[in-house]
Amino acid sequence: MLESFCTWLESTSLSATIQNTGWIIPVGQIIHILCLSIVLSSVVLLDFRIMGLAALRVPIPDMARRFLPWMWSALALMVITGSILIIGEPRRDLLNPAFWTKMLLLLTAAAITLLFQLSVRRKAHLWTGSGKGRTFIRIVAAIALTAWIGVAACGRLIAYFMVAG
Amino acid sequence: MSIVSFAKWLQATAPAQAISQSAWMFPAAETIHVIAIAMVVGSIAVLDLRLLGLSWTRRPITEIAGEVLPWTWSSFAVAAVAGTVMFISGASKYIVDLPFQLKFVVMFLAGINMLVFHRFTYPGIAQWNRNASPPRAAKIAAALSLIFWIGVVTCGRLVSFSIENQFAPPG
Repeated sequence: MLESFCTWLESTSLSATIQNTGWIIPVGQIIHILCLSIVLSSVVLLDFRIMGLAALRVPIPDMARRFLPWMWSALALMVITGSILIIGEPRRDLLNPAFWTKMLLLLTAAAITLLFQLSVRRKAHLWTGSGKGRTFIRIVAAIALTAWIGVAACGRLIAYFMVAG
Repeated sequence: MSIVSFAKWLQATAPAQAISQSAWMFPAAETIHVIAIAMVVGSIAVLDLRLLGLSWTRRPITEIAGEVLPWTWSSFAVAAVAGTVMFISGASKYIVDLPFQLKFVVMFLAGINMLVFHRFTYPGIAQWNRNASPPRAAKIAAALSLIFWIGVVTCGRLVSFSIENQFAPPG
């Protein structure tokens, strides 16, 4: 089914335009990786703060307000550039185990980050003191961070898991 | 010994041969390189945006620098090591590759920009550490830093378009 979806996608005029305009894919990839630098740095600094390993002077809600809007904007731009790359070369991604692993990790990482953001916004008091549940929160932050790094790693490894043909 | 023959010698050494013959070493180095460069650019951008007066302006610049620069430098070291692993595996093709050469020119410019900032602008920081809008010299250095690092990433991505990747399957 995915196979025939790729065949259809490749035959669309949008895909043809992307394939035939030489600069679109390289430029899309460059924007994608520059946005990755915003996303990854934001979540590394934020998750290390939550884990109690960095920027301890800054309250967690302040860290969230500083970095998460940048992170979501950059992530949105990654979804757009990523979609352009998929439409241009559907087989490269949609028939690729590294791509689907990346999507699974992305859902996990984004869901944890979103839940965290909602919690900080609605229950700020939980995040300012030294309150209980800290160990649990730190473990969740470590899981989110690992998932984000996995997203980046799988993204690069897509190039090595392409199905030929 | 010319630079090209040095590159040829380098990629014939045992470690370089081991990397180019391994199925996983190059992809692993490349993955680490990408994650590390993303951390370099993202972390330095936090400081550059503060120097430009665009974000986190309530906080003193030196505090932000203290929080992000260790990430920048340690990530840079990791990116350099992983980059060296990739480079030696095919030194003779990289050394003559235009995006690869440009990447180092731009990195050199980023280094000069940083040295100028530290030598002439940073010593007076006590006077403007808490200013939401730092002096023009600091803003120019920050803008150049962002431009150069975006350039480094751009050239880096283009290297793989100009060099046939020997490890990726055909197609």
